[in-house]
Amino acid sequence: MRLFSNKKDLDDAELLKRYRRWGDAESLGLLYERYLHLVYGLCLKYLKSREASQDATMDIYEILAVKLKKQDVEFFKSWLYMVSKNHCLMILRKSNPETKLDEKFMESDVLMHPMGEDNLESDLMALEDCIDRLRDDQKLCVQLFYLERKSYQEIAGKRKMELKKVKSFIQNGKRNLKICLEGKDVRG
Amino acid sequence: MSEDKKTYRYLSEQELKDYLAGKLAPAQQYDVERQSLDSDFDGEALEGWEHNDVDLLSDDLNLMRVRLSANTEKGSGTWMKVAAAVALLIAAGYGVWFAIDHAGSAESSLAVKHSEETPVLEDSSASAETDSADEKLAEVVVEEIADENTTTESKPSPIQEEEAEQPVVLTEEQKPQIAMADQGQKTLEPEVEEEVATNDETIALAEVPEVETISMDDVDEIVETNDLALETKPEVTNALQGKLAGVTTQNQNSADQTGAVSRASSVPPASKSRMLRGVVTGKEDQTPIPGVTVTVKGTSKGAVTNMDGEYLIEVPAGGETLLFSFIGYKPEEQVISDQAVIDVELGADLVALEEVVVTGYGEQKKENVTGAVTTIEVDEFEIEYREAQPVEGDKAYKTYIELSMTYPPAARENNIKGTVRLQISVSKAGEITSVEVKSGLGYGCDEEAVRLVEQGPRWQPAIRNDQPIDSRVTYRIKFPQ
Repeated sequence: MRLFSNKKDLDDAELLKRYRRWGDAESLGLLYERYLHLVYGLCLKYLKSREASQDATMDIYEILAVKLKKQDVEFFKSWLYMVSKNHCLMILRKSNPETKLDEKFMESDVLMHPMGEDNLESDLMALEDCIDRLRDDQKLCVQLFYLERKSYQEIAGKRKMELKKVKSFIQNGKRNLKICLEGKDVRG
Repeated sequence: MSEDKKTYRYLSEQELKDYLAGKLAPAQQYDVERQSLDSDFDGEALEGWEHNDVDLLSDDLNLMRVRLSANTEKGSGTWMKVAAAVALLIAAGYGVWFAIDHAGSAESSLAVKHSEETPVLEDSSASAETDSADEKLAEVVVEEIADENTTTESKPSPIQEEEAEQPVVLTEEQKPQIAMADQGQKTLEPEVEEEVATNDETIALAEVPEVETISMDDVDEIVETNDLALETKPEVTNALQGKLAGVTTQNQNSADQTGAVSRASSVPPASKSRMLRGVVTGKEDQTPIPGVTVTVKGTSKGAVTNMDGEYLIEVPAGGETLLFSFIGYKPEEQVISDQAVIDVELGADLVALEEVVVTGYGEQKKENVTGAVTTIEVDEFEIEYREAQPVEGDKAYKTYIELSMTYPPAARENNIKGTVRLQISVSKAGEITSVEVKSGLGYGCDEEAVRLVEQGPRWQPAIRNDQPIDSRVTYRIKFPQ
């Protein structure tokens, strides 16, 4: 029963609105389906097993159905990430009370505020300085990735490094950069 | 799935799959990588995907979509339910009429077509009427009927039209049902049920209580969900079996998982616990290690490997890590994922040895030793531990035993040979407070051994952290010397 043939083209906010206003479960279903593979992947990362992840993925939908009736959510994707991750961590904690939250848990997904024109210069300098301070391998990978827009594979091929290493260099490099920039009171 | 504005950017399922399959051009690869770095959600999802078989996950997703749409359509907008209910009421009226009419008159080809539809509709209508929301329903009915012609998607509307076209002769009795639909009077509803019961024996009333507010889309859905019945109930009742089924399908190529039913069978059940097995071998020599303790970390579930190093363990829901431990080996942790078999190699851990047998005479077989053999628990706080020992030293004491022993005549006659094991208690003052025979030979040997120790040279107490303490020492005396 497709009442709105173009429903699939509606954006997140519109679908959310439809669900909140009319309790249109189909809208919510469509919205959730949009991110289903991401939620499932996320669950797989934390819960490891496919069956547990599938259960969790279905449970998360139920949670959304309840929460979104009352809650006004602006950025659905970020919100969904938070809800999904919390759910997974709750499952983990239930089964093993000693599970530690990983350090990235509280890291915000929300984009940082746009940089103003006037301090752009100093921000850029701070960034350059921070890049300079990275370990050589991290620096190299970060530069190739962010500045030259090379894919992991290209970097790995060029530098004769393992793909995994490239990945971790970039991830760690990014984190270090962030820490370094935060230390300089620059958001980036 | 459409590519949304930048703020809604996310990795699509296709992108994920193509990336993992290595099908993307470098620039596209970069795009995916950049996105997964920029968004934790995408990044972590990608991580989750990376560690699994993409085809299997793809199947899982399809299945979840089916489950999801089953969920959403059940709960779709309330007005749809009302519309469906209205349609059903009309159909019911028609159904009852048809049943009556069918009995007496000759049917047109149109009527035959209707007779195929009516059973389903009758069931539904009867149940719709049992719904407690009768009153509200009836009110809305009036409104909906008014613009009946505008709801083009409503299935029963053609019926309504056909109904109107049909040359129908209504009896007095039958009129109220049709009227009911038009007027929306709740008082007439009980009559409908009565009529159904009395006029048409083919209606299975027994089914009525089971069916709850069936709407048109639910009928479709039932057909759908029947195919997937495999997936829901059996898994709960037979977790283990289901698990095995899930595991075996992992090994199959996804090629054969095309139909909805076969997909359903490949889905691992939402089981609460499962069995895992494997073999534990030594890293150095690849030989199986018996007696290795296998536990599910954080739980009380455990197992021990058999003589062939094999184990079988029940992993409860949420069990994530298996812990393998055995004396003299480095403990090993294994993260449990989807596999049913986890084989493990343990590396020797010389540092972790907890018991050491020390003899004062170099390497000798225990049976042939006359002297103190003590098992010392190594404890980092007790490194300074020295065994109680003869004051003049082991060698001198041994010489004393050799020279002083009288081989008992009874033992000599019966050719008794062996070792008497004594437990000597030495006080912190260095006195021998007791000498007990732990295992003896008889024929006077035991008594002779006790005599030798009791009357022999003095002992000095055991020393722990520079302090003399009471202790016991096991001492062996060989007969004959």
